[in-house]
Amino acid sequence: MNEPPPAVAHRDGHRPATGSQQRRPTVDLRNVTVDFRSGSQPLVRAVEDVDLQIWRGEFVAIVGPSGCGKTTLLNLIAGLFKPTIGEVSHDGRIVRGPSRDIGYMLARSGLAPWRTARRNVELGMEFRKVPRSERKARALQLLDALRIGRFADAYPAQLSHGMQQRVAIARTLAVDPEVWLMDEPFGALDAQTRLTVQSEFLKVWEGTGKTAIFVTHDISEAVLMADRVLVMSARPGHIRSDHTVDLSRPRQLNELRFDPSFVAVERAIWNEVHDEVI
Amino acid sequence: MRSSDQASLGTAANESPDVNAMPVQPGQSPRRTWLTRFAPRTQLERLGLLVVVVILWNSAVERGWVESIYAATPTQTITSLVDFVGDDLFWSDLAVTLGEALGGWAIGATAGLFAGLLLGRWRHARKVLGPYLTFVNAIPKIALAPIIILWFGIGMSSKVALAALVVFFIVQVPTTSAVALIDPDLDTVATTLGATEVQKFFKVYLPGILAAVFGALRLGAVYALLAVVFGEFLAARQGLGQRLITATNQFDIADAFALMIVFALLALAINGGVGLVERRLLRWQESAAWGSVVTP
Repeated sequence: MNEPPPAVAHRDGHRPATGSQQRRPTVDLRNVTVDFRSGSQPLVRAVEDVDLQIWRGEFVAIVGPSGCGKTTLLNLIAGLFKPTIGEVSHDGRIVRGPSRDIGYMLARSGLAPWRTARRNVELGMEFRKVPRSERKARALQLLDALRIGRFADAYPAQLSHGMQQRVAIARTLAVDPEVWLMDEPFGALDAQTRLTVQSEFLKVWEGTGKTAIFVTHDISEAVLMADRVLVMSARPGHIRSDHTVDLSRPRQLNELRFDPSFVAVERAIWNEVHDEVI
Repeated sequence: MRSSDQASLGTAANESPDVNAMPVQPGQSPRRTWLTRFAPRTQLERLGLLVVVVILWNSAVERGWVESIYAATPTQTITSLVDFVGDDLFWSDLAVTLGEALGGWAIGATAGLFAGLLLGRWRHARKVLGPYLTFVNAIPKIALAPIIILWFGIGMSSKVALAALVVFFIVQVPTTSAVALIDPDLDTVATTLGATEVQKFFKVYLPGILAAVFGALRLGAVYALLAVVFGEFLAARQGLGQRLITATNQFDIADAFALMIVFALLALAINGGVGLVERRLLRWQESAAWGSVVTP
């Protein structure tokens, strides 16, 4: 394939900001449908007919009502299960299981309570047999970057939710994945903590050239952080529209929230989805 | 057994105060001072009770309320204990019994942990093997002692095997149920971080159940001693159990009494040893329980 086909429902005539010269998308979902079966219940169609191309270096946010299959999309890309119909590929290879190139951060921190913050960050590196001193140095560097370096020796139970999420971010990034999948990583935080963690996260991401795919139910958060916002419809989930967010980087989230161009994009999405319950 | 309820671990928070957090004021240490810990009054009462019991015990034997062939005086018991200290044979008996108990405990606990984890993780294995395990567990393990002695002989190995069997079930049953307490998110995270099944086993599941099963490991240590002593009653050349049988057969009641004290001390020592390992491995729980605030 030479020219990437446009994503479904390109209402805004979106063209990938950084990837238009690339031959193929880094994450490619083709005609993907997922049915779930639970016991003797009838099949539930979680996701229907999703075509989605994500380009290297993009920050993509997926928004939609609860239960619309946002998390299912991430699980597919992470290789936790396979689609019922269609295929998911990463850098041209079909995803058949978890890949070391794809990092996944869950909504809850999922930290090991018996490990200190630093040793939690080291977990993935331990699986990959990174030498001890290197592990330690990298973990400390990441915790410092997320401004919790001084809590490196604290156990998760001693940390607030915001700090726990930052440890979980550091753990995901420690193995240096190409694609960062994030499932409502800041959903459980109070408004103020959330803004702090969002800013710190963006600071870490900007300039890395990594691809971030971010699921949220918060339209403001999506517009603040992403280059591209995908809106999903209610179950069975499919991609309803695809918006480009043309705000410059690095972004100052505190100021950006009141910026007219931000407000305009946010309103456009709100107007479009006001009939969907978010 | 310590609680390993994940929800209860969400204690102290630095940024957003948690209503469940235990308030620890600066300068207020959760550890008590030596004076409150020593509690002079309680110690005095304890000592008084001991004195009363010893005096009653002594007069019961001295005044012939109990026939002296069936009971030794405190002095005779202490004399026997002191004699033990100078007796090389006593120490080798002690070493045999302790070695058997620790060996049986180590084998039974390891097997119980591994089997418990495997059964906890694989529902299918649990379904297939469950009824058989329940059946074997239902046998009073002590009843297997004669058969085990027949199989393993009257040396140390039969006692080790009996203790291992007893400890296995004490550890396996709670381990299997503790697997359900492990945060499923942590399992997913490990999968996406590229963990192999073996890595998950050692870095997620084994440490994840440890807090919940330490109580069983402690209990197992004491039951290992019980199984070993019982095995030595039945057939043995050496060991404290054999020494006890010999003493009672020869109506050496002072030695028998002294051995009771030795057994209690031995069980306490084993229990304390496991407790030390527990505190070392579960330091993270202590920090959570105190809700100790990390101040910047």
